[in-house]
Amino acid sequence: MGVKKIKTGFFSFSCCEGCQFTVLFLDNFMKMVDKMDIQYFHLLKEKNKNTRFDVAFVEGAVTSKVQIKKLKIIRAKSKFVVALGACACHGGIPSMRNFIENKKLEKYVYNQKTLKDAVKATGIGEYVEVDYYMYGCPIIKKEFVDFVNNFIKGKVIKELEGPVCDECPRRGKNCYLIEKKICLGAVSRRGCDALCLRENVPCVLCRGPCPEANLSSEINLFKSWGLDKKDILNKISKFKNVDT
Amino acid sequence: MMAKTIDINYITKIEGHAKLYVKIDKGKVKKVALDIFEGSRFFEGILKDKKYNDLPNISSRICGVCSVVHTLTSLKAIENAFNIKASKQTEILRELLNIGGTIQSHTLHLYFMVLPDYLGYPNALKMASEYKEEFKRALRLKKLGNEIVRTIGGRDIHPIVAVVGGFTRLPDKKQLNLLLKNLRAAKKDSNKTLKLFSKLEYPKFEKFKEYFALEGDSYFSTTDQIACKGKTCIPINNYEKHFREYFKQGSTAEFAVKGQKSYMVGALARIVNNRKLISKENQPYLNIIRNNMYNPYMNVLAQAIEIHEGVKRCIDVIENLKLKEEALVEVKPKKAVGFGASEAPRGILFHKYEFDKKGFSKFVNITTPTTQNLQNIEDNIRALLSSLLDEDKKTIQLEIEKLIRAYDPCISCATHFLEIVWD
Repeated sequence: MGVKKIKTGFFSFSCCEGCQFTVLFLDNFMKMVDKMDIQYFHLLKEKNKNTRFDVAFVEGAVTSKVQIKKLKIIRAKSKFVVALGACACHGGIPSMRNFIENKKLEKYVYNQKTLKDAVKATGIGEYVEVDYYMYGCPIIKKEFVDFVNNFIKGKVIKELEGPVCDECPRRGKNCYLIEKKICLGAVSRRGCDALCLRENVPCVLCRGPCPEANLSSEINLFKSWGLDKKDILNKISKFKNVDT
Repeated sequence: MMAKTIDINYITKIEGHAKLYVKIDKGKVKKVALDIFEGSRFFEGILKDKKYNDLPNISSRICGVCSVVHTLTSLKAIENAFNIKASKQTEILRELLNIGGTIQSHTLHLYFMVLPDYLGYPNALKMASEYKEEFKRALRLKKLGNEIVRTIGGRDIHPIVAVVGGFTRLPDKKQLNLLLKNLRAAKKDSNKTLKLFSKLEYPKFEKFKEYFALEGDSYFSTTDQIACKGKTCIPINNYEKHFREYFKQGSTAEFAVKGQKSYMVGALARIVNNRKLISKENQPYLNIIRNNMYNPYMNVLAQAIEIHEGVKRCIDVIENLKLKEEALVEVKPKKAVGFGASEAPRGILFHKYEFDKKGFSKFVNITTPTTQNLQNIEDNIRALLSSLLDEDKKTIQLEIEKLIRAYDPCISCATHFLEIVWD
């Protein structure tokens, strides 16, 4: 009866696992579970079957060679792969480690094995084809629910276009840029309903730059206020390495 | 007797990625190695050279399940460095936030990770069909924890509005009233949780250990003193002298010891040290713990006590809450060192920062509860194994996993490198 359940796996690489928790924290968690035949979810299950998946949700950044191998296996076994959250989409917070010079990393002498295995922290799209990017740190609950509800009907939801400004309640006279505060809403991908801005906190670009973002003019604007260059670049590169 | 090796390649139902290797030969435990294979994220490196106001929301991302307490501890360390005194109101809201995070974390651990072990189910989803009432209760408590964190902090995880010097917005009155109503209703759930977990048959296993916890003003509002055996022993700005972190071959996490000895932090350590701060109605449950003081499985019951105690505390606080708009305390960065310590769901969490005069971090050290517990987990596995030598592999594996889960390890948290030399 009804719609066929989708075979699902939840996988986790280097991250805080907050996106998995966001799924677990869904108010209608059981309703969602009923729609899925969860085959892999190590946070919840003991017997994690390695079967084929209709959809694999992958959170976390890739930071080691072992993870690349695992990721490729997941891709091969899955019809559809979703990058879950900032880390899987574009490296997220872990990707900040790419700014630490290799020479300095070598000073962590305790465990050469880990160092040898380490690769630049990136999103999963660096190594496999990704069918859907679910941005945000953490992901937005509503987007996950919408995604699943559509996916079981054979549909894939469309990504919203434009920057966070388009959904910001402060747009216009209350804009943080007028107050000369670093807000990255103008260059950030929308889709979060400007959650932080509604809570009186400037945008931190956790969803990554939108395609039309002009980062260098943004950086120049902040510099023109006399702000510290290092601080500006740190804030812009918090969730994704940005070439400047 | 045949040699036995047990390789648990991926310990499930814990936060993060860990594996265990055990070797038994000629009736003796030859090797116990708990390996953490979480990818390295070099958090202390990442946190270095950042403006102070970036540290709370970067360190929140150390762990999705304890993001609240990482944020709060980071704020404490920054405020300590710059001599900022948060207002009484801010402190109260932060306490509520931390209780919310604790209820989220404990509920998830007790019902989703621990209970299936004791009721004989492979996982909580399988358990759900026969233990409908328990499962629904778990979901309600989980929702309540989220509601507290969201109402006070702006989001279920990675709180938004708790910043250096205060809150960017106060909780909405309507939402707060709704939360109070839900908290009152939840007392029944937290009470039933406590009853359920006080009746589980915990393995009989005792091993002496030292328990450390922060001293409390009230149970959930801690001071800057570490207690052991119910007495003050260490001020937090001195913790590095007493607790040593070391790096273990093959693992990406740090392990911590005091002197050469392992110790335990977490709900059980808090109850043991701060039992006088527990309300009267919960005292009978404390007797169960008192009679099994050195049994690490009691950590499970201690968490159940804390959920009930936490719900009660939130009700008391919110009933007496008179909120007024306050400006954020002004920050004047300076060259300084700051310490912050909190009771995270899993035990004492330390953040230490050194800042330059512009407020950029020059040194960061974070010691998480799981870092502190890992060595004790290994020591206890070793001790437990010697009583299980005649059992089959499957039983041994289940019993060890139960022990590991009792500590509620959070591997994401433990996984960061200790920074020793930076120049």
